[in-house]
Amino acid sequence: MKNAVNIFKKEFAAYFISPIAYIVISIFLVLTGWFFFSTFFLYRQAELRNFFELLPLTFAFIIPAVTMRLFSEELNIGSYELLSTMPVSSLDIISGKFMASVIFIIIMLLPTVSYSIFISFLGELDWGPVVGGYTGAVLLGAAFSSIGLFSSSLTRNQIIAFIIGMAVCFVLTLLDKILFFLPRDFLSVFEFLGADFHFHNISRGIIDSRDLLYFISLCFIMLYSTNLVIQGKK
Amino acid sequence: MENILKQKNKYYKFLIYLIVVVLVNMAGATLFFRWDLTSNKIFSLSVPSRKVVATLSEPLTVKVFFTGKLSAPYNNIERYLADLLQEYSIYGGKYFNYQFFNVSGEENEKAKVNQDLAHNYGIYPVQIQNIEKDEVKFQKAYMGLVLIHGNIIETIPTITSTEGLEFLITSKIQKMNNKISALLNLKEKVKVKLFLSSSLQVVGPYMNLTGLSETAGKIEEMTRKLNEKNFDRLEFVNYDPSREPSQSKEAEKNGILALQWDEFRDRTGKSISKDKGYIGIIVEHGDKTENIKLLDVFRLPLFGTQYQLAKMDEIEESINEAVENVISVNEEIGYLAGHGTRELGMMDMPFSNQGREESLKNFYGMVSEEYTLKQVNLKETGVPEGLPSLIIAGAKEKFSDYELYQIDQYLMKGKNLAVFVDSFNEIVPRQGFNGMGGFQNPVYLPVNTGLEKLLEHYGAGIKKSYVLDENCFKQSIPEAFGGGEQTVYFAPIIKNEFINKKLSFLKNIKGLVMFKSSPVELDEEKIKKYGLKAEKLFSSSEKSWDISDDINLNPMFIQPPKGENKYKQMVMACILEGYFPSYFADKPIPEKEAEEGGDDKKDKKNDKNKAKGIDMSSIQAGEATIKKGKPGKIFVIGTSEILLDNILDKKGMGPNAHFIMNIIDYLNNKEAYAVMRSKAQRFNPLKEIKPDSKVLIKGANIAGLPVLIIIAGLMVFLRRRSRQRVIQQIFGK
Repeated sequence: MKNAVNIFKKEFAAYFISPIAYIVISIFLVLTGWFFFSTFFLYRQAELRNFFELLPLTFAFIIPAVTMRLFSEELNIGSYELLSTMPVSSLDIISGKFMASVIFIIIMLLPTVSYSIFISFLGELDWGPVVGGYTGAVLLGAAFSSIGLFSSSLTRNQIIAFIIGMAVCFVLTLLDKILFFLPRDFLSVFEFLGADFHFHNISRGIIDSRDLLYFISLCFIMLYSTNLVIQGKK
Repeated sequence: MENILKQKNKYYKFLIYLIVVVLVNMAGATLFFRWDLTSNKIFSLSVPSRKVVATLSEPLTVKVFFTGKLSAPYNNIERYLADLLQEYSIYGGKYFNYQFFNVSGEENEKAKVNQDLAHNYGIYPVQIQNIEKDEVKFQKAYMGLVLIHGNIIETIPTITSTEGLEFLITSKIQKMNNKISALLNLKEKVKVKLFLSSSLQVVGPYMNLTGLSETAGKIEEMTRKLNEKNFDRLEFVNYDPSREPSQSKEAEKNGILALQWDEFRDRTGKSISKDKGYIGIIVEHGDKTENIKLLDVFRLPLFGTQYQLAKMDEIEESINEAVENVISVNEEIGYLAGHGTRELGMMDMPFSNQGREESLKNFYGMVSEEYTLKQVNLKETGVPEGLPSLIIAGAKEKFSDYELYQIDQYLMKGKNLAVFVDSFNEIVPRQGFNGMGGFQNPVYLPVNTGLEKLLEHYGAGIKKSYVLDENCFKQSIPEAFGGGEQTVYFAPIIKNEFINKKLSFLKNIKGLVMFKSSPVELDEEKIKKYGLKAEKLFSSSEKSWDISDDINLNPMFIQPPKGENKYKQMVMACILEGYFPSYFADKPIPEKEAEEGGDDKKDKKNDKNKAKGIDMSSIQAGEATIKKGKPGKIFVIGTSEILLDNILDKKGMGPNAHFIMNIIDYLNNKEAYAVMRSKAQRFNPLKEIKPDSKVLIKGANIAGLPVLIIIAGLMVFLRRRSRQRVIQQIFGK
């Protein structure tokens, strides 16, 4: 665990030492801010529903960009060989990197709390769905991070890692929106697989054990798959 | 080799984990918990719903016929319904059961059987839009459920939205519970009386009415079927007023449709003699009767008067509803008839739009879901004591002192009043144009019914003026008339911050629209003196003013006043609660107006007494007037226009509809229902803010936050560079 924490510190610091963090967070804030506030005063409703509805799609682009370098860079410059010679398990490495990206996402989301503060002055904001929305956002961010981590472990090329990660996140986001194109017999299965479907429930303010189980399962499968890939590279 | 085995084992292990994860998720789909974070627990079962299912004494089964695998957004309804029913079953225990029936598929034999079952319960597929293989297709889908409790069946044939679904199901269960108790306690049977004159069968073919001869048989069969669901408490009686004159009198007394015709000859020269015929159904129990129309009469351009027999399934539904009304399944509340009050619109008149803007059909439909509105005629019966509350909507004619006395004493008995006061009578000139070639504006005459003095006595007066507000409804003008918006100052929009949130039934009402409303003036001194509790329900905005003279409500001629001191916030509705002192406490009992034709009889009776030498003056009445009775409630609002169909939505889901129903529930001590109804109310408007503030908020959040992040990044970058320089300086030496 100590090793995982050390790796987490190193990875987390790496985000904020380089301009990546500031650029990614700024782009994220401009995107969400623009899309949310451009229609906010037209809807005239004191709620953050539109912000949360937009989040899965934004995350599908942003999070793979955050996670693409986690393994690809190390594999590319060869620092992973160095890391693997150290007394750290692949589990420590994966959990350290995973924690770093999740905490990064939380920090990325923090400035958006300002939206809810502003709205609470403009109307009677129900904080329940807001808390639910942010809980869901962290869970969704964690799930997408695990996907990003897995795609990063597959290749040395950061761009390819980004594209793979983005494609998977994108499909999971849109899955419940394109159900009518999918075979009817598997509709409920596809619906269950969709990340947006589960996120939507939490963002409405309902913490449902089925949704929690989905996000935890997705993280577990993706991190375990990453572990398999990393061990295969040893 | 060992390595390959190890690799294989890893994948097997992964596969096993994967299967475990899938199984855990599958198990989690049935064993789950939900934690509702919303402030009004929108997604959790309300207390009244829990109570209703917890008090079930007989099994209640819910059969759901929902086509599976529907496209979005309908697929979510099924899930929500399943979750909701699961919640009901938690609190209902062994008495609450639910079952989803597979009705999907045309070729599936089992589905076909279930579809037939659904049809038997009156659930038929509805057409919905579905996108399949890149094409928009219309699909027929079953989206209904049926509740079976004892012999009673309640159906919700179509569920297309999750909004208000819990309220709907709970009300149905409550109604079934009430119906079972009412039916089991009936001492005599409910009579379904068919009035069908045999004389009508002669003229029927000339009126294009076929099947009149079979009608009696069909209604009898229908009653037999209904009897099975009503614990055998119905009795069918067939009357032929053509044969029995006493039955004609009964038909007339009950307002059965009468048709009469003069002697005529048909095309073949056959002579049809002059006669009269009655057609209609009366559902009767004790002194309560409900009239059901069997024949629709309407006029069509070119075709003239047309006659149409009502559809049998509609008649069945009407009989069922009438039975519920006569045995008082729903709680009865009073609605004051006469005195120029607004007429309850109960029937849809085919091919006619006349009076639609004045119709209270939506209000009637909405209230009837939960209560039975009993029309109260003060002149004939007074206010029946059994009614817990009385609605007085838009009275325009004067009340006699005796009638006011009846209302006052009704309140003293601990009953409740909902008074919708119209301060003015709007007289619209008959001729559209005046002599000058322009439209004549309506005239607004102050209304003095006498109710005002009663309300003033209790502490809530109504000012004779209209509230105008800058924060009001804006009507868009069609392009043909120049486009743009028309500000309707006399339709104030009530802001969320001016709605009293201390009252639980108003908590979820986030905005309202008023129309031609007068301000309510609370007499704080009286309220304090009488020890009453007064709650102002909502007020107009700070930018409101009122007009009392030379009223012209043409939006083109209304200008907001100049000067800030002309504006003032006004209370627009209130509720008074407590021990009201009687208006007639120190007054003699008002004289009852003599009924027409009744004076002679009375005089004769008095003369008779005089003749017998009895001195009536020696008999004195005790304290007949209740000077201060039991605690009651009065709701007062300065308009009845908000009850009209153009303000209340048909589905009763809008904030105004919820407000009205919540008030009625509150007056009838069903506050929890009021809270449940509006918990799905999502209308949550923003406060009014200046355009500059909007720009500031947008700027701060869209550009300000990223700029702050960039500044933070630059600071980190500069700090690192200075640190690098320091290190360079140290090691460069």
